[in-house]
Amino acid sequence: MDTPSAVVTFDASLFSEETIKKAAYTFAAAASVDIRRSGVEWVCAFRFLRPMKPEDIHETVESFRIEVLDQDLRERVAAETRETRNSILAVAFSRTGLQRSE
Amino acid sequence: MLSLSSRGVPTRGFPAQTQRLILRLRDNVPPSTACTAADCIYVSDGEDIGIAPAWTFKRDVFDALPVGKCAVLLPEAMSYLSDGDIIALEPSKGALRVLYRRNSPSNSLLVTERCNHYCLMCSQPPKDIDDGYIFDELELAIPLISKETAEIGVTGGEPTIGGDRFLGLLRTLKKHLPQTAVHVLSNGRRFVDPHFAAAYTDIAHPDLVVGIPIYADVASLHDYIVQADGAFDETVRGILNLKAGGARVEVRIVIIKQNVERLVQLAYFLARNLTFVDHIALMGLEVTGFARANLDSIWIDPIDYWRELTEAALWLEASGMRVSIYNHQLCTIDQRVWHVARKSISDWKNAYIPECSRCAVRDRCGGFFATGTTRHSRRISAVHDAGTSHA
Amino acid sequence: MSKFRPLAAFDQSGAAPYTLLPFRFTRLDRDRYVASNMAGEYAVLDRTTVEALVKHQLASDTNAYRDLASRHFLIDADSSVGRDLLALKVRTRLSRLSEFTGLHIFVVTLRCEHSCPYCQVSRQSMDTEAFDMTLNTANRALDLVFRSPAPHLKIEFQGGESLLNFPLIRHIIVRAKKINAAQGDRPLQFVIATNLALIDDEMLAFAKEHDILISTSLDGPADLHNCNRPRPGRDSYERTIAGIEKARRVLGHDRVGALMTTTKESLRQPRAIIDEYIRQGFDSIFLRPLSPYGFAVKTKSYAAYDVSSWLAFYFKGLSYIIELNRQGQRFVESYAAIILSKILTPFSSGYVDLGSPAGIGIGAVVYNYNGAVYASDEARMLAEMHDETFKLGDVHTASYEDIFLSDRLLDPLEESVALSVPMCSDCAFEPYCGADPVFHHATQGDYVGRKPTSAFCQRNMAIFRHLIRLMEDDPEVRLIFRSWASRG
Repeated sequence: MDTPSAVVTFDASLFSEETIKKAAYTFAAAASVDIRRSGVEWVCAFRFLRPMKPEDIHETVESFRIEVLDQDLRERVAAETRETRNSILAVAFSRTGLQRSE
Repeated sequence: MLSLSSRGVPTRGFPAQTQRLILRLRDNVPPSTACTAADCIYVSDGEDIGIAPAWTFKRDVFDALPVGKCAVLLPEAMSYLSDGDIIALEPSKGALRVLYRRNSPSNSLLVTERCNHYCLMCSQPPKDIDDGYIFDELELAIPLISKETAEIGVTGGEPTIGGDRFLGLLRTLKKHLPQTAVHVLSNGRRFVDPHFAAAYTDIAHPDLVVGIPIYADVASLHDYIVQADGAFDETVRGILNLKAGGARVEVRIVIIKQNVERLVQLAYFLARNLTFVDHIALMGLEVTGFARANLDSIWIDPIDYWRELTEAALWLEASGMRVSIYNHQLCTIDQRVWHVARKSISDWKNAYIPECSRCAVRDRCGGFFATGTTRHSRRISAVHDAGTSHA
Repeated sequence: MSKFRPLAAFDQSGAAPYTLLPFRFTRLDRDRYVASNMAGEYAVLDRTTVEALVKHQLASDTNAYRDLASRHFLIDADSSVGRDLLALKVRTRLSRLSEFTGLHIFVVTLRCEHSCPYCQVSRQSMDTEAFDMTLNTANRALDLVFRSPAPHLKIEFQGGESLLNFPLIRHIIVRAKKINAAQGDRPLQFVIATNLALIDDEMLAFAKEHDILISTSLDGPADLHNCNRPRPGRDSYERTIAGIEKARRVLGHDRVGALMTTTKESLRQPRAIIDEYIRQGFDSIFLRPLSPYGFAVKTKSYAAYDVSSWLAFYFKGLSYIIELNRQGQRFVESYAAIILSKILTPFSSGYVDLGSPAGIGIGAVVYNYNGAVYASDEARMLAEMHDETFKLGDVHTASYEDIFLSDRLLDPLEESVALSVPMCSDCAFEPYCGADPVFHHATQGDYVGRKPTSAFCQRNMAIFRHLIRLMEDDPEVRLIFRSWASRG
C-alpha cells in the first residue's frame, strides 16, 4: 500500500536552508522530508511513514508551517544572543566568586 | 505607645556650658567601683548619693536637693524608666531622648536621619541635616549598655551613609557587647562597593544581620517605591557582595498597594536568585511618617492580598528559605501561614483594639502598631476557636 | 503625593529597545509554548507573545514583559543586574561538574537467589562463585575510589544479590574507613542494595555500627511483587517486608529505602503500588520504567510495553500522589522530584540518567565483580550483554589516569552534551534533560541518538510537558511540586 505524501513550499528569500532543514528534522518520526530549492521557493516533499487520515495530514502540514516560523524565530534569538551567551558562559566558568562582573 | 523623647525637662546644677550628656540611670548608690562618670543616681527622699548627678520623678524631691547638686526631673510620661536605662540630655534646653531601655527586648540605635531613599511608605521620613553628632553619642552610650542585652538594632535613615563611622560603631558594639545580637536596617546600596562590603564582613561580628528591603522583582517598580533610580541594581549587587563575604542578610518586603500584584513573582525571584539569603520578612505596613501622608494611595487591606501573601510565604518556605510574616494580625491571614507569623511589633509601639479582648489567639498575635489602630483591616474579628480562620 | 515622582519616571524601558537574553522555546500544547533560559527558568507564553518578544514588540507595561524581565529572558535600560544574576545561576548549575565522581558502585557478586525475568544485570545462579568479586579486585578498586577528588564519597554495593558476598562488603567498608581516616576523613557514606531475603542479625548489627543505608526492591502488593520477582518458595514479598521491618528496627526508619520496577503487570495498578508504599511507611516512590538492558531484553520484558503505556501508568500514579498531597499526606514521586528540582531550583540534580553532560564517570563509576570499570550502572548492564563500549578499563591493569582520562569516557561525554546535539540545542526542555548516551547506544547504536524516534526523548518530553502543565493550571500543585523539588 502506498503511504500518503504532501508538498509544502516556502519563500526562499524569507527562510534559510538551515531553518527548513531543522524544522523538517523534528518530523522525522512521522515522515521523511525531501527538501529542494526550486527558483524562489523551498519545496518540501513529505512522504509519511504510516497510513494517515487526510485531516491528520493536513494538521501535520500546518504544524510544519508553524515549526518553520518558530525555527525562524529561534535563529533570530540565537543570532541576537550569541555574544551574551558566550560572555555568560565565560563568567560562569570563571572563578570570580559572587563579585559583580564589570 | 511609649514616649521616648521630651523637651523642657527641668534640670539643675549642670554647668552652663554643658552640651550633651549621656547618662545611665541607676536605682541607688552602687558600690563605688560600679559607678562610672556617666551614672546618674535615683533619689526618692533627699538621701546622700555622693557626687553623682541625680534623677527623680518627684518635683518636691528635685526642689529639695542641696544647692549645686546636678539633677534632672523626669516627666511622669517616662515613669517606665528604670535602672540601667540610658538617656541623652541637653541640660540647657531640657532636651531629653531615651537611647536604651534595659528591660526592653527591642532597643534600636538610630544612627542618622539622612537617607538616599525616599520611600512612599517610610515610617521615619529622612531629614537632610548634619547629624554626625549622633555617632559621637552612641560611641559613648554603647559601653554603658548592659552586657546581658540580647539584641540591639541599628537603624536610620540609612546607617551606611555614615561610612567609616558606621563600621566603627559596629566595631564598638562587637568590643563592648560581644554577647548581643546586632540587627542593622539598611537599603544595602552602599555595599555595591566591594571594598565597603569587605570592610563590613571583615569586622567579623559574631552575631550580626543586615536587613535589606527588596520591594519588587522588576527594577522600575522597586525604584519607584524607594524613589531612587538605579536602587534595585545596587541593592541586589550589594546583597551579592555581602553574601560573597559570608555576611548574614535578611530581605525585607513591606507590602503596599503598588507591589502586591507582583508579590508572588517576587517570591519566585528571591527563591531563584537569592536562595542564599538567611531570612525573608513579609511585612505589613506601619501607618506612620510618609505612610500616613500617602495612606490613601498605598494602603491595601491585608484581607485583599491574603492569597498572594499565602502563596509567597509558602513558596519561599517550600524553597527551603526561612520566612516570617511580620505586622499582620492573625485574623487577617490564612491559617496555613500562621506558623510563620511572628509577634514583630516593638513593645513600645504595639496595641490591641477592643475586638481583640474576645480573641482566643490574642496571645499568639502581634496586634497592631499603636499608630495603626485607626486604619486597619475591615476584617478584624476575634478568633473564637484556635483551629479555624476565615481563609 | 506631590513630593513623590510617578512610576513612569522610573521606567526607562521604553527609552531604548530591550535586549534578548539567550532562551529557547518549544511547544507546550496547541496554543502555548514553554520558553526556558540558560539557567532553566521557564515561562509559559502564547505564540503571539513569543513572536512579539523575539521581534522586540513586547510592551513594557505588560505583566508578560515584567515576568520575562524578572526571569531573565530580557534586559532593558532599567536594570543590568539580570545579566550578573543569570551568570551566577548558570555557574551554580554547572558546579556539579567540578564534583568529579562521588558515587562508586561495587558489584560484589552477580549471584542471586531470585530469578526475576526483568533483571537488568543478567544475574547468575547460586553456586557459581566465579561471579564473586575477589578481595584483590576489591582492594584495587578501593584505591581508585580514594583517588577521586570528590568532596563527598558514596560507596554502593550491588549484585546480583549483594548479601551473598557479605564477607567482602564487610572487608570493603572496614578498609574504606581506614583509608579515609588516613586521608583526611571526607564524608563517606555506604549503601547496600539488597532484596533483604537473606538479611540476618549479624549483618544488621554491622550495618548499624557503620551507619549503612539499605536500598531494597519493592514492586507493589504481594501478588504483583511475587509475580515480578520469583524465588524458591514464592515468598519474595514476605521476606522483603519482614526484612524492611527488621532493618528499620535496628537502623532507624529513614535508613531503609525502596525502589520499584514497572512491568507489564504493574501498568494496570499504579494506585495499588503506591498504596503498598504508603502502607509500608515510605514517604516517596520512584516510578521507574524498565531499561533496555540485561534479561529485560532477553526475556522481552523491555519490549512488553511501549512508551505511551508507561506514560499512562506514570501519569495515573502521579495524579493519585498529587491527590494524596492535597489531602495533607506528604508523599513524593521521586522521578518528578528530580526533574522539578531542575525546573524550579537553581541547582542541578545528581541523577545520572538525567544529567547533561551525561553523568557517566562524573556522577557514578561502577567496579564490576571481575574488575572491569564502567561509566555507569547502565554501562555495566550493557556489558553483561557483551557490549563493552563503555568499559573504561580494568582495576588490575589500568591506572587512575588510564581510566578517568580514557577516550571511552570523554567521547560520549563530549558528544552527549545536550547543548550541542541536533534538536536538543533548540529544545526548551534541554536544561531539564540529559543525553543518556548509554541508552542511545543500546537502542540506536550511537551516543547521541536520533531524537525524533528516541524513546528516552519521547518519554521525558511528555513528562516535562505534563509537569509544567500541571503547575501552570493549578497554584496548589505548583506549591506541592516546589516542596518536592527541594528533595529531588
